[in-house]
Amino acid sequence: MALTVLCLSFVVFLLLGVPVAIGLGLSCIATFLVEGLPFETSVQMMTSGMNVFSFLAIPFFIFSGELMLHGGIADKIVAFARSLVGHWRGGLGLANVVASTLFGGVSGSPVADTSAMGGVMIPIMKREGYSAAYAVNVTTHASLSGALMPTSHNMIIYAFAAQAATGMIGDTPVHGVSIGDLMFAGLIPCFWIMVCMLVAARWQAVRYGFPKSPDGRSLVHAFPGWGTVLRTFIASLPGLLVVGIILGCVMKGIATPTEAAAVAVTYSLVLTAFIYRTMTREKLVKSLAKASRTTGIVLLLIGVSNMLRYQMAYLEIPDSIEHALLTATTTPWLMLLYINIIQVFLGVFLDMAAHILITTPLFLPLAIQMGVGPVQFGMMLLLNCALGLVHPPVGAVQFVGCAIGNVSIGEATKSAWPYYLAIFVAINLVTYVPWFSTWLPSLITGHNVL
Amino acid sequence: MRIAPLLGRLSALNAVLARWALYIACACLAGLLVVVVYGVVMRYAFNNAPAYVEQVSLLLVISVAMFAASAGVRDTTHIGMDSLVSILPAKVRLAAKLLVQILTILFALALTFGGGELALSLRGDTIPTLGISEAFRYAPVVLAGVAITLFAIEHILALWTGKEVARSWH
Repeated sequence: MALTVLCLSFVVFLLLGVPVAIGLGLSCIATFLVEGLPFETSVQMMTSGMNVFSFLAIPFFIFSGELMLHGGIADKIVAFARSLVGHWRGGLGLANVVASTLFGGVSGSPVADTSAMGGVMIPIMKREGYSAAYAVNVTTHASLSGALMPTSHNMIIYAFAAQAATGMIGDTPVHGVSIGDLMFAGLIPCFWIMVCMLVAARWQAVRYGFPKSPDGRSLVHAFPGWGTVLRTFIASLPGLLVVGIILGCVMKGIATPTEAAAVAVTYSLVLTAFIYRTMTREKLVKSLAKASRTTGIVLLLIGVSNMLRYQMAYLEIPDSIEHALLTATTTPWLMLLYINIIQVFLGVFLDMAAHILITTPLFLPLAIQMGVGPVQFGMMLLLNCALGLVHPPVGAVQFVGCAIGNVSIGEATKSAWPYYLAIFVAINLVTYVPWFSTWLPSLITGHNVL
Repeated sequence: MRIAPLLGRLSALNAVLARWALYIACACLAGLLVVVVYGVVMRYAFNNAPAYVEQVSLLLVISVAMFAASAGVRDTTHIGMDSLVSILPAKVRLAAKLLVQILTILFALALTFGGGELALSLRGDTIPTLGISEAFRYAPVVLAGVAITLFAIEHILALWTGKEVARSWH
């Protein structure tokens, strides 16, 4: 009965258009009442879900991303990427991929990345002989790497969702996941996403002859010289340093990830206000307000998902799903394929934070049984969620990109298949080759990261 | 076609409430940053980490979350899935939207009464290192519940009269 109330009410609320956090909260409260538990326990669980010191990193990463977005860092990163690869066929597309990956590291948010990079790159690309759909697709898909960067607040959300995971992989016990391990784990997958996107962008540019003038003439520019490359790199270096500061603080044990995130915000403020001098009072207030708003949305979701976690454990839902999937197959590669297919399907409907919070407790125990550790699973999950950001109907990144490029979602989706293929390759590499996500954190931390 | 904004006393009151909820959230976020950075500086520069940093931070973060979340209800910034509702006939769509607001009120009432109950039952306990009542932890939950109820009622009035709620923050 309680299980029916929980599942049915949540699906109905979701389809009705009730905000996910409110719908999830109501379903859990209704289930508490059906089980005869006092409903204030649910409110206490929601509050305790938000009251975890480690997750203070979430508002800080969101705030840092907003400061970088409004602080004009994007222009400097674009200038560097353009001077480096802008002279090749499809050069601006390649420069866009490099710049979006680098800015993803600075902002940690695909939406902020697309807003910043798209605002700078898409108009330039359209002006210089690239189609609007090409410019939008390159920007939106390359920005997805932001979800796996050390500055990503979604990584902290995953750490929260995975904190109760336990099990054994070989002889190694698994207890939750370290935020520090996750921060390093995302770097190699990000690099591979960039490589896959570069291949896709280059292939499409060669195929359609971008850049070209309206009369079909080629518009490839000359290499500006290594002096320009060095000059633009030095100009963009202070912005890029934010990633180094976070990783350095965590690696050297100077600060916890939460404190490192707070230091990153302070650095972003000092950089944009006193070094680049691009931060005005109005931009600061806007960044603060947007960061507060996003924090409210994300933390309410985290709070209510704590109620859900309790209910899922109480009703043994992960065990039931595990049983159902294990009946279908016990072959690890096939099981991981099923998990990925379900994740991609859910990503079409669910927003990233909700997706992480709802599906991690369901699939992580199963993944651990299949020999996939919580760090590797986190990378798989984040990539699957990221794919949902560039796919209708709730593809927030695609909406932003199409609005900037003034192109319809249908038109952009039609020519997006090389980029979907690129992400598909990246997801499979991360799923089936643990090295991509576990080698670097194991090397840096000195313990066996799974 | 541009839809006229809902006017009246409740709208005026809610506009002020939502703006102040976001101001408080912004102030708490700025305060959170100051407190955490102060903690890091004190620990590394003076080897004297203040014990209250963690508890103050947790109080501030719950305030950011609840005040910003309540303002988000008025400005409809919360994430939802409206693709199914948008293809329904106009009358059914209106009924669905009204139902969403009624459900929002139910959630807000649960926050208000659940949070109030917890604040009352824990008012005798103190937050470690701060020495203030545990009830303070639940105060933002209760206040957000009241604000969300008022915002959802305003949305119901707007839907009923064919108007829209003007955003309090652009």
